[in-house]
Amino acid sequence: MQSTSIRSLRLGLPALVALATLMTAAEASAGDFILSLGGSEQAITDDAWDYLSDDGFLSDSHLTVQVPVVDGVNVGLEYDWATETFDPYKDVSTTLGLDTLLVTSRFEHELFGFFAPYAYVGAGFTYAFLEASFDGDDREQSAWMFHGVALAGLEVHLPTDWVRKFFGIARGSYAEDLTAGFYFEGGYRLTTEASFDDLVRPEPDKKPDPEDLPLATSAIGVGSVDLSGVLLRSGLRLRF
Amino acid sequence: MTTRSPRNRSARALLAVLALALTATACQDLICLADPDEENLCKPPIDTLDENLAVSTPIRYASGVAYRVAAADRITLLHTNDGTAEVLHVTVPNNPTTLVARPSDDPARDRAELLVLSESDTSLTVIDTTTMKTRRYALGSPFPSMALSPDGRYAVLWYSPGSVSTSIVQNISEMAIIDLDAQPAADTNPQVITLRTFDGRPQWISFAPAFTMRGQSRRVALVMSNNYANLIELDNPNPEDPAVNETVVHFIQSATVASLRPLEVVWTPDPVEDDDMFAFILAEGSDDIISLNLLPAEELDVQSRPVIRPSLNQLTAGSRPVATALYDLNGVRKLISVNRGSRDIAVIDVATSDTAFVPYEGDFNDVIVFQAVNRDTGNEQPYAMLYNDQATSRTVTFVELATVESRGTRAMMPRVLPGAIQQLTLTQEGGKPRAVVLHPDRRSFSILDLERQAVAPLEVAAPIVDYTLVEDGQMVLTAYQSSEYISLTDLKSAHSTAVRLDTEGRSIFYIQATNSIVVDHAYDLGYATVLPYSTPTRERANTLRGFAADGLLSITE
Repeated sequence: MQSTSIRSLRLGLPALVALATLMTAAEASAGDFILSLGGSEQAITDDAWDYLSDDGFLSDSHLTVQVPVVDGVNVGLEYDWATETFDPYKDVSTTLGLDTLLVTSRFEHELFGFFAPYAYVGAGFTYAFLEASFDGDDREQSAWMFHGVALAGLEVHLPTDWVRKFFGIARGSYAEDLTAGFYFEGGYRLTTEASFDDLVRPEPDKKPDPEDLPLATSAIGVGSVDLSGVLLRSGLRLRF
Repeated sequence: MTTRSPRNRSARALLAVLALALTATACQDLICLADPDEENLCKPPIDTLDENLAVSTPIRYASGVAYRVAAADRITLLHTNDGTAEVLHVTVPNNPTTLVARPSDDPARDRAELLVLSESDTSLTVIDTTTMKTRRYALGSPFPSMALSPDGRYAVLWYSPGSVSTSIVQNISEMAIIDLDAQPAADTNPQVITLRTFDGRPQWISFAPAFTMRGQSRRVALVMSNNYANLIELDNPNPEDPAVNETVVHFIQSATVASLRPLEVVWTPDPVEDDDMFAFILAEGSDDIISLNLLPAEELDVQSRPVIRPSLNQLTAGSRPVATALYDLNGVRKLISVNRGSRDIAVIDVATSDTAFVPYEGDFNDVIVFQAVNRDTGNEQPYAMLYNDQATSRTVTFVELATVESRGTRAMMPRVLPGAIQQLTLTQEGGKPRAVVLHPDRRSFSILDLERQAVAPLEVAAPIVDYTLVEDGQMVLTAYQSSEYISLTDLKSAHSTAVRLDTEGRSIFYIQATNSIVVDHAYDLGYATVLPYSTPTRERANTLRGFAADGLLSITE
């Protein structure tokens, strides 16, 4: 079976390419761009989550690239990734990989020069990949979900001198204009249900001899899970 | 210009990451602040890591096989359809402990319902597998055992000997009687009774077939204990006075015998009038067969039916009778009993109590009666076969019951089998009585043509773990230990066909309604292979594995 990290390249790699392209385009046009990196915790209320995680939370990471379009309005792309592994019963294990690409927009208003409340919305798709092992019999299935997020946040800009000192940036260097801030945001993540009703055996790495071919086997359906819920995120935001 | 050492930069970067991680952790606690009762957002995680989602051994129902999955509180069905199967789940009350299929005299309803006993929930749940609807009978006590009448109409929940109950205090004489054709009703269905006991406890239950008494249908059962039996009426719930439905019948003991242990009950209605019912009881410690005649009294019960009064009699059988069977010879009901003490058989006229004895050679502990065509006269008549199923004797003896009283031992035909009998399964389907005999080494079995009194021995390369007869009586399906093959053996020609599966089967089932074969491989999370009976080939086989985890995300904790 291919590992989840390789599977996640199905969406993760294009997402990272898209983010890098956006950054390059911003650089080429001599414009600013904003890079955000952080983590989030989301409370999942669907009972199905009990069989996918050892707690009630989905922990994921996110990387966002945005460019300012008008004063106080930024648009860009966000890539989220998460993996949850759990053994809900003896000889039953599940690994759920999630990769999300969102188009995002952030509306901020700076106060007192260091304090920026904002609203953040995003919409896109999540690629979910479930790997399960039942008594040594491996099964897998992927699913696509619509994904929307609405957050209210607060960013605290760090003093520029302090940032330069912290990162050891010399005047006149490439990152001379770098500013940084910590942000904390909360809101709601809405997704359509991820349905896993047709878990099949993974394709073998090499084709077996016809004599050794196992009998045809029926797919297993474990059901569906709703990953919507209250979301809190925090992270570091850098402006170039 | 101030320069920072790489070491300082790394330390600061690490601090930044740590700060982010701590902030993320704090997010969970902040979310939980919004849910102070911890009912939804911050409910504690399920604690299932130590639980095993294992399936029980399967049972056959009308359209497939069913498994009990105690950890998930559900029954999982493999609903077959000509060589394929759909996985269905039915959620049942907490921790189901027993699963059985309900028999029925109606072929369309035979094994169509599943009965699920949940000891901790003190309930019996009935699943109709055609509609997937359930109904629940509250029992009130954590009965660990269930007995069913052969027609499936009544279930008796009780404390059988050797059963382990979770209850600290058990009233071992308590029973709940359920009319499974009727909906649950407080006080009357189930009717809960406590039997009168006398220095003993209920050992087993024998249900009488439905009979009429003065034109009215009656249902009774005998709860057998050492030295006595409790006759209970199943269809006369009386919540005001439950004990009125129970009559104790004490067996007559000789001065030299300490205890009479009931072994077998044979029921027969009065062949002439609809006024009474007979129960013939074979008991260890008694040389007589106890005859219990159920008669109508003048007194009426709450349903204005005659109260049933048992009358006890004794039929002389011989010394140490160990097995008995009833047959009808030209309208006359007779009992044949196998007597190990006197090494003879007794033929008893039930109506007159006249007894004829015929000595035998052999070591028998059981008897079956069957109808077969007499090849000399061309007439169908009753025969008996004496045998020993304790794997101690290779000899069986056929008895021509029509003439045994007059011809004696000349009406008895011994036959020697290739091996002793460990298990014998009788089939009369298609009008041809046959028996499949499994021998003790489990590497051979025989097909016994009872009409021709001939045997066809079959040897197999691996020990047999399970076999089943196809309902038409023409084929026996066999699964083998440590072998991935199953076989289909034609009972007429004794010709066998083998089919290779992926792994060894532990039990094998034929599902008549869908013409399918199901082989269970006894894996914890479920593993079965389904084949169409019409074309049982490897190419047409389909496996289902891990089906206990099917619907995993919707298991209700």
